[in-house]
Amino acid sequence: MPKHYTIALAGNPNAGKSTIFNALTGSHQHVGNWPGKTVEKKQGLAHIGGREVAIVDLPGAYSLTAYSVEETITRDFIVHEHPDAVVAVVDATNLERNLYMVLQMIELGAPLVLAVNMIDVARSQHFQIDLSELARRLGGIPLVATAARQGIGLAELQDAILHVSNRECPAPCPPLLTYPEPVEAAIADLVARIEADAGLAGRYPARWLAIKLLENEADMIDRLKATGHTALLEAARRHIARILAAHGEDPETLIVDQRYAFISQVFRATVVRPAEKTRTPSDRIDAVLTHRWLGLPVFLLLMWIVFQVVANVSAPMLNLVDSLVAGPLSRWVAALLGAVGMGGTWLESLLIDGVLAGVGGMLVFVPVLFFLYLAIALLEDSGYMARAAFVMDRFMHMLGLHGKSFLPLLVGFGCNVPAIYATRTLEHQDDRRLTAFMTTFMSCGARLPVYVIFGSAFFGAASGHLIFAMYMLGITIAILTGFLLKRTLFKNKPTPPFVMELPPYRLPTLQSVWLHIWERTSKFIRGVTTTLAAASVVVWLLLAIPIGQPLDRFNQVAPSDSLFGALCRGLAPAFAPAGFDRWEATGALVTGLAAKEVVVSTLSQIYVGASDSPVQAADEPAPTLLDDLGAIVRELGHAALMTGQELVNIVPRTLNLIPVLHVPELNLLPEHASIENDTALEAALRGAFTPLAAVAFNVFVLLYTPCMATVAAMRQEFGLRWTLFHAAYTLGVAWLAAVLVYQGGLLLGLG
Amino acid sequence: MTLFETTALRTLDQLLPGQTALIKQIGGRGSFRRRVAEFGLIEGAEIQMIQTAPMGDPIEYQIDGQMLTLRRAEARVIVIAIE
Repeated sequence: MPKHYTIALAGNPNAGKSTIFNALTGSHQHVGNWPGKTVEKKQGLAHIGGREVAIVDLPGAYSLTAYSVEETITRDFIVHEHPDAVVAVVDATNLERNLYMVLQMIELGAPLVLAVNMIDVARSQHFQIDLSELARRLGGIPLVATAARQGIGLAELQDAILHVSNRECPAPCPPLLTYPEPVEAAIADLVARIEADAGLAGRYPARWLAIKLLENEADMIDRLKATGHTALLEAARRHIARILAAHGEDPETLIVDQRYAFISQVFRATVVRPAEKTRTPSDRIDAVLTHRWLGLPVFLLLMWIVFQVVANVSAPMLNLVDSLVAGPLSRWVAALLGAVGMGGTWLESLLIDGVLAGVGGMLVFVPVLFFLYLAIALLEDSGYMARAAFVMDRFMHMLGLHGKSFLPLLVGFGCNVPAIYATRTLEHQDDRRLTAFMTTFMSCGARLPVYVIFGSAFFGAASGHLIFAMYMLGITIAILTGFLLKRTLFKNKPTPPFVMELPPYRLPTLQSVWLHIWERTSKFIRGVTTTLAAASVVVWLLLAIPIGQPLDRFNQVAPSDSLFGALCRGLAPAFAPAGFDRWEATGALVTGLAAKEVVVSTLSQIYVGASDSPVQAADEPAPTLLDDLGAIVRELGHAALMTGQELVNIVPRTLNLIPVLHVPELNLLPEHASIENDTALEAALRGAFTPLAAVAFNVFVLLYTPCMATVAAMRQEFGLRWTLFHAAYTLGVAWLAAVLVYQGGLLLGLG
Repeated sequence: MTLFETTALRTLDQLLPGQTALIKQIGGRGSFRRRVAEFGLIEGAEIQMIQTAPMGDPIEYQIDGQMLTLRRAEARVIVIAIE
């Protein structure tokens, strides 16, 4: 059986790496995460020359200097996983910069194939590239010109990959690039020391490691410190100091300069740039999208549309999923259990109210994430995301964030779950964590019903003030949290430079957009289902276990007589300083951990006693399977129609932002206005809370630990420790804020 | 005619839209210098200022045919000679 080859794709962002990956692997892809990193690991299988070849798409990087997470991953993969071939994908219209990383990979001794991609664009812009001279000057590496989007050059690329993989280990050749004498002398000394250390020499290419040490690269130094190579580090430090003293430049600068000198030599000998830079369509688009005056309004408009798409266009599908899980799906499970004689037992309750409710709680996010990922894929693939960061950076930088943090924070107002995933658009792990931390204070759509019911119960026509105050408070706490974390946890972490490429605008391809959506959404389903089902089962258990009642009343107790009720009674006094120490309020907050809108239904269940799920009238026949299927098809059609309608309605909604305009919205299927009889609940709330306590309660709901789905998303992205810290922090902040509001109000005589 | 009149040393943040200059020296921390070098900002490279962002910061530049952004504070540590 022939050896199984592993091929890696590496290159700068926007060089077309993913297009080549998709072209080579087709639909045989698997997306996961790099261990412990919030960076996607894309793997796929390709058949090249009758063999199965595993292809790994390394994250886009500008160099191998371990500056960003992506670069560390790329470098470690090439150094430690020893792929049989590394395809370096470079952008033909931007060779000079792209060659920098290629040169680093050559220095690393990677088995390279150079794919000079977008050769068609370069030719149409009148670049003249001498490909054979380029290959020769880069030490004779195999080179293929490709236009991956058009499928040009892919067969040749496959041949080259196979050729390099089949090749026996090449004899070590003299280094392509030599540095000025003092640096070479230092390299020679360090190489001797490294080769004397069997552990190190087997792990890293000696010359490469010596160069890294002279470049004073923090990541490498940390690793060698951890393995106790202090003598080697000390030697490197002495070399650096000596070169700096003798030549007035640190070796780092000498090395980088020498690399660039080499590259510009290669570049001048092989590429003739068009005499005059033609004004590309991309430049013309930029003239509008990043314009001094138009840039900001265009940005806000686009963000508004993204928000509309994520929050409103996804709503009909979300409702559909919700009603399918609560209706037909639950009935089918019940019918199945009934058929095997388990109907009406606690097992039925566990499966339907516990497991199925948990899985349903995950499924409702699928439409939301689908639309979020659609929006992100379009923004990223078109090249606009970098412009958005450019336009917003000044403002976000004041808050200690990056221009790209704006999108996740905005999405947070719709739903915190997609907001957490949207932080992946940021480059640095610290920025991602900080932004994710702040997004959970953005008041999501599920918290709104709580403010609405309390607002109308206590403040009547002025309820809008409460709602507005809650949104503002969330933003304020987020900003304060940002400042606090920047000065504590993220202290001493230097702000990374805002060197960012504004890539040329490109029309996103359908395949790439679809793959983005599919990969990320399916990853969410795989990663979060278990957590949510488990949490749901725990809540079910708490509600089922009787306290102070015979145990055979398992799953047949009122909430107040369950373990849940007992726990809430125990917790309730903690909220006395905030003005609400009744166990009912605590109970609502605990169930609100499942999903924040549940706070209202729990209060309604406890105070009014009415179940929020439609009860099947006894004299009505249960729907048959055929009824259910018919209803599903009907509802699906309905949801699809409503999705289209919401999409169309973005236009009038956007126009209506202009005060004088009143463009009517499309309304194909007038929904029966659901007259919710909330007056009973409102009256009960007025009896249970003082107005001041009600405000404190709302403050708590806004700020405390977000719902289970958000917690699960946080855990998937940032690990358990960070998630627990976040949960504890938000709980503490919420309690403190609620107490401050209540006690402050009392002092002001508002009680 | 002295040299001083034809070429003036300034910092990169002082370039006006459309103006081109040669990079003379890059200051700042080592990691900053290395990072910008990876994007082609090295001594001797030609750089053109395109525009500032709507709120005045960051600034967009063109170097080697690519569009790059730098914050004003970062552009301030790069010394240039205006041609």
